[in-house]
Amino acid sequence: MSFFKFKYNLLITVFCYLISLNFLFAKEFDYKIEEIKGEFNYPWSSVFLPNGDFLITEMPGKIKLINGESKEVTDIKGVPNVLFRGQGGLSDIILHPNYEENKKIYLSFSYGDKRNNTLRVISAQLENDQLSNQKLIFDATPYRKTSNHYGARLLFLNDNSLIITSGDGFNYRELAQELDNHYGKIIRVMDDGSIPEDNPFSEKKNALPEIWTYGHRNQQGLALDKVNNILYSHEHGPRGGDEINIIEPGKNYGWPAITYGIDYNGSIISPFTEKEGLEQPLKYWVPSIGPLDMVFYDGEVFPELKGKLLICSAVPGDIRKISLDGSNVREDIIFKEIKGRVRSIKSSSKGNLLILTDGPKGKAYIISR
Amino acid sequence: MTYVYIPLFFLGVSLFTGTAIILINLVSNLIWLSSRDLTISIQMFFGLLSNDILNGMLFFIIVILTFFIAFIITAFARYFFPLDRRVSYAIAGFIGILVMLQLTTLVFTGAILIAGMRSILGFLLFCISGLLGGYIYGLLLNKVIK
Repeated sequence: MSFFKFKYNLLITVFCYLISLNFLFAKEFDYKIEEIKGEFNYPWSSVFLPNGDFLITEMPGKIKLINGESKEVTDIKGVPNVLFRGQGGLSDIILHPNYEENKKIYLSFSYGDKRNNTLRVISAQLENDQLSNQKLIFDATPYRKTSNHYGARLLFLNDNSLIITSGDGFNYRELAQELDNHYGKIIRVMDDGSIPEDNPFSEKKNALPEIWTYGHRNQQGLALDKVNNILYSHEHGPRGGDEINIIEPGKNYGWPAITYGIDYNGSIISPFTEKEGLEQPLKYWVPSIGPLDMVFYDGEVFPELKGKLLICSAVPGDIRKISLDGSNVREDIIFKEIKGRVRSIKSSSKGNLLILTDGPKGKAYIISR
Repeated sequence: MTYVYIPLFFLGVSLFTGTAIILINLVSNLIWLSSRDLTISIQMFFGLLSNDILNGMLFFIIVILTFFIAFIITAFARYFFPLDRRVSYAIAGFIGILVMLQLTTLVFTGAILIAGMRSILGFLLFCISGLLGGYIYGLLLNKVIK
């Protein structure tokens, strides 16, 4: 090969390499990422306040208030005692739909001791960086001996009823198919903890009336398409079999009778992936991605994301945009600059995003335009 | 020649106990599935069993490690308390598996990773698999060591 031909080939190779690098790292749309100074101790969830400030829960039992402008961090006082063990601790935080009038927030956390504990949900009033007037909204029963699979995600529906995910407790997976307990269920109660009369099992004998759906494993993501009134949930599978489901009252989502995953030790949990009367997921992942939180994006800041589900995951640790077109589901990884187990994703009323990464030195990022 | 047999016996009984644990685990799953009208044919059962054995490396490694520690301790103990080999290794197998199962639960904050041991019967059957493995090991050792 002549020297000139070699040089020519080299030039083309470098050019192609640069083009492919450009595609690899190109942003799909414009955004800026601002890292909030400081570290968070196992952050789990967050919520934007109407004034632009936001609250972050830390699993050991703290709530941090971050000023939206200065990003100054303040500890909220009066946080209830939690069981911080295994996957348990202070978990989700949401605002009451009428927060501006009543200042009510809702918290989920694991409560009790290591041999006898449960998922608990309370409401409290947040005024002057202090929680007061705490009321018990929900206690999952029976209590458990494990510190795993609490679910613990909260969300208000359009009718102001509260949805609570309650995981299967790991050791009690078969009970997800029974209606006399809270393992592996999605619960619906009113904002004061009372049970709505139109719940699907309120008339059924031996069924707990607060159950909305059953047959779940460990559901850590809830998102509502408010316009079309569609509730989405995602749940962790075992080894493989993470799922996104459309949640409809009274339905059985199959765990552990049908699953796309296998047990952690490699053995089969069920050879069946479908059965009449059991719901199929909208999408499932094999191998697992470990979905940790989800938001249905309806903000104005990123029109490119409007109507999409944004899911954050633990394995390998990324944020995914899920586009739904009928039964077609498309998945793209976005905000690739954020690395590590992504614990939480929330949207402000305008549409800025707040992302938390997991661990004892968790980070918080604001994504805006 | 004796020292060639001993590791072979050890691996053999470890495979036996590991396979027994996998079988008990599978059967406990299938019993529950059949209670939900999800029945398994004989052909499917053997397919699932072979699949679980092929994917059961973790079980075998755990059993090998457990028996290794339990049998070494037993060999030392027998120096001072010369019980019958079959009895002493059977006890070692039973206790070894029992301790191993309890430890895994402790490490994973109460989560039982081997689903079949969540019931008392399943747990006992796992320990009995260890007991049988130890008994066979003692029996085989008696054939080659006087």
